[in-house]
Amino acid sequence: MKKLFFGVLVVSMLAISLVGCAPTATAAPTTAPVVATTAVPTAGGTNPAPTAAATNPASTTAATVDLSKTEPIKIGYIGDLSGSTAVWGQAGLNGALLTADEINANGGILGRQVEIVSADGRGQAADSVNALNKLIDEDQVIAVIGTNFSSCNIAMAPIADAKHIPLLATAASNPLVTVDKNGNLLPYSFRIGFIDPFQGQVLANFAYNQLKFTTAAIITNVADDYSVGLSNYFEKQFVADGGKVLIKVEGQSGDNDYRAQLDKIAALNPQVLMIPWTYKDVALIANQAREAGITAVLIGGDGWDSTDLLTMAGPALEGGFYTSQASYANDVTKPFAAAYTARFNITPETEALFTHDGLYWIKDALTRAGAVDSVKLRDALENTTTFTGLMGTMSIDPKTHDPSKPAVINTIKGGKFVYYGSYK
Amino acid sequence: MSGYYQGLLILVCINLIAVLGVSILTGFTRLFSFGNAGFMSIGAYTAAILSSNFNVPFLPSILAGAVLATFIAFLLGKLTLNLRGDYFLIATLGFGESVRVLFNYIVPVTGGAQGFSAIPVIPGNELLTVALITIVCIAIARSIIYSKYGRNIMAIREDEMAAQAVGINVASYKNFAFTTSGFFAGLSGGLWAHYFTFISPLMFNLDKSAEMTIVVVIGGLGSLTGTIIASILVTVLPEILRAASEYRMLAYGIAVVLIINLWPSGLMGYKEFSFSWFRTLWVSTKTLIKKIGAK
Amino acid sequence: MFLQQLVNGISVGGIYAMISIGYALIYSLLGFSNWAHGDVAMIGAYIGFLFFATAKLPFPIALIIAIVGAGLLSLLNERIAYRRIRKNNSPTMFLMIAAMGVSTILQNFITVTVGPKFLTYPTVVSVSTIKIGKLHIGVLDAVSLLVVLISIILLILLLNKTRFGLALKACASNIAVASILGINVDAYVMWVFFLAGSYAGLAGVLLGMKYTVYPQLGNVSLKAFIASVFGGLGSVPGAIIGGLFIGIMEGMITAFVNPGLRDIFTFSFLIIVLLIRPSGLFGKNVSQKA
Repeated sequence: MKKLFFGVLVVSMLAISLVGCAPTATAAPTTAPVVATTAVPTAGGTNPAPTAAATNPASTTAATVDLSKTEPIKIGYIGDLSGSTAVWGQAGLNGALLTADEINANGGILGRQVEIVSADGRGQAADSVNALNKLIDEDQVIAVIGTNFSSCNIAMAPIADAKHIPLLATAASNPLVTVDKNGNLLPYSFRIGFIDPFQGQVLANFAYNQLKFTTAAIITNVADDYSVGLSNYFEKQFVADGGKVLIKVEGQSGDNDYRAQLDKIAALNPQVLMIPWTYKDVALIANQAREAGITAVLIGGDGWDSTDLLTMAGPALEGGFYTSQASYANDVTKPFAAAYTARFNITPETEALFTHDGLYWIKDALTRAGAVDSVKLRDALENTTTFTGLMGTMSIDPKTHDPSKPAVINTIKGGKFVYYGSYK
Repeated sequence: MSGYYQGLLILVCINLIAVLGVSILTGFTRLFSFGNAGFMSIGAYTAAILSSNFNVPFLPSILAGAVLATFIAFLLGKLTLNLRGDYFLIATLGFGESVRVLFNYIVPVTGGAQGFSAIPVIPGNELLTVALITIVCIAIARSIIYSKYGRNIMAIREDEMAAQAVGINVASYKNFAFTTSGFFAGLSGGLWAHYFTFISPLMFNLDKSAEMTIVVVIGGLGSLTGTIIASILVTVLPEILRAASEYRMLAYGIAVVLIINLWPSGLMGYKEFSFSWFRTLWVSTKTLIKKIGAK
Repeated sequence: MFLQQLVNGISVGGIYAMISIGYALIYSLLGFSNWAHGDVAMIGAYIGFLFFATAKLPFPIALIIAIVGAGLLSLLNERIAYRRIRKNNSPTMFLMIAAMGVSTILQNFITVTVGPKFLTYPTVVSVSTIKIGKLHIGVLDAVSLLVVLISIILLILLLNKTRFGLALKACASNIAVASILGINVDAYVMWVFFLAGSYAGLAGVLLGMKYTVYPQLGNVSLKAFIASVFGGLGSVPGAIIGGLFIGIMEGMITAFVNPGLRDIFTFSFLIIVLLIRPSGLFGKNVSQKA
């Protein structure tokens, strides 16, 4: 009896896996095998138009989405919609919805409406991968905007490449998002924000040249690749400029108590303390630093960029500086911010500006490409020489897909974020 | 079948393999561990390093990962298995966390918090390969349960002192169960690495270990079928219920408390899925209908 | 430097101790470690926040409501999640699993209702520093240390100098015999959970004030558990000493060894304690699984 059952189990699993597999072509060695989405008919309804035989994945046969002219162009958004950083993910989604309506009110893209389809990546690589697969295979999006986590985008990149759907990271700032660790460009991965090496450099130059500081200390979150990367890049540039890093200490998000490390810093009395963490910990560290008697100016990266930071840190951060994407301190963003607050009843986060610019960038690229085709879209994105959005003007380096755009430095004055300057 | 469903099935299989090990450990030996994600992590990084940096082919590298995880499980078991139930639990939890912390720290080897990327993909048809490996693992798990090993660990589960009294070497069978769970977790980790092509220490954290135990509890302690069903459910449910994802974890917690209170044997109890189960069900339904008809 | 780290460590350790006490109390009666205890502290923090920041009640009142609320939650917890298992004489592992389930429920309940954002307590005590020679301690820390001290003294008085405490110790010593002797064991179990919960609630509010309030605040209970193992499961003085010790040890390792590997040290320390002296400093002789 048991053997019979077992046999049935084996046979049925084999059957499932065989039925489930459309005849695939084994890919050229670099990426995952291309799955032809045509062989198995989807439930009734519209079949995607048969692509040229999916046997030549390295070439430019696209997953051309066969829609009649009046069907909307679907663009996906992946972000953390339900986890601990949902405040950013939700903001991104809201920004996308707001922008899509604006674009549609002005004639859409190539005469078609834009529709946003969202999927919850929960800030985790595994969930983001599932989300991307769903958006591409089930919802047939032509491009995806998201996420702000480098780890998620690194995991999603092979899928974007294999299925020929451009993926536009928002704030993800690790260089590995667009160029893999062997130096190969990931052709379908793009990003809208600057990368950490750039950010670290700007901060270091600013601290040394503008603020005229020569001694610094750094506290790093070793559990966060963003923090580790930013600390390294800052240190390299600061030392190259001629400054001295007196001490580097480490901690982990979740420890909550950094006094032990901060006391070490206090003893050396640096002029500036670099805190490349996310805003919650920045607030804790700042408060504890002041308690420890540290009088240094506090600086950090775009992890500071949240309206919650000031409520949590109080006066400890007064006089501090941080790099950010061009953000709400700029007057040009005021109409958008007003419209956002009117519709969603909450002040917007920078992530909403990312999705706004991302959508307009896609519009710009599709218009240049002249057709609603994901491969042509990719080429147009790669060849962007000037695109101006609410976050400034940028051009894309075709070799790395990294945008060159200025970083903004904001300061905290009177308990508020105040725009300080734009730096390249 | 679209790439999305294929990907989902692959994920189901990968999670299932790891949970099979936890099932043997927890359901059949009643040892609770919160550290099996640590074994997954060891398996994942070993396989990834071997196949990325040393060009070792797919199958040998995931097997190597599994073997290393097994070995470490063996050592850890020797060290901690004579501790009481909840101490053992904390020890395994500590182990899982320590693996995560360590892998974060040894940056030149693992890439640290940045993660390890550009891992070669699963060769051939991904779904077929993973499904076959999963079937083999289910077969191994079943044969363990129905063997002398299985009977002995179940004896230990029911009454440890009695088992010792009849001459079962409790320590070595417990370690057998623990080591086996390490093997399955390590294998699963290797597959995970090659499917996602990117791993970071955070992926294998306490939540993952806890999730595996939750699955076994929900499926039923002492039932492989229950474990399989629960694992499929738990992997697939977030996708089906995308709208309600915040409530998902809440629902799991409630399910665990309810089940452990009311039906500690979970969905399937100590029973396995078999045709005699259907027959029993059919017979009792017939009897019930007859009774109602007679009234 | 060393002395300063000592001060830091004591301040953190004091809070660990408050939570460890809860573990010790519950363990002494029921023989299992209540995994959800840290989350009771977390709920205490949220209750305090609700009444202090949102309802704008005076701080002492909000504090008391938080303490009582957490105690009630802990009690409810026992009644709903644990009592049945206890009565069924199921293995104690089941209790731990139920506790794990409760912990998940509490954390996610907060996440779906209040939301995952970090909440900051409005300032109760000014964020300034007291300086004693070369040492410094935040005013908030000093006050919370004082509060911890007072509550611990109260607890010890309660346990040792009252009839209630005597009955509690009887239950702890042998629950079956105590019930034969006419002590209403169920009632005492409820009292213990209430007591443990209220201490956790107090700790939660203090933690919330120091570090902001968020759903995972209860994760600190892992360290508190290690502390109570070290001090001897079931022993209240052991829990206190354990809490202080772990707080200090972690501070020292962070300052002088390596913050990144700190957790490995703490866990290895735990394993060593379990291997060498599983009953901890003051615990009863713990027999292996019988």
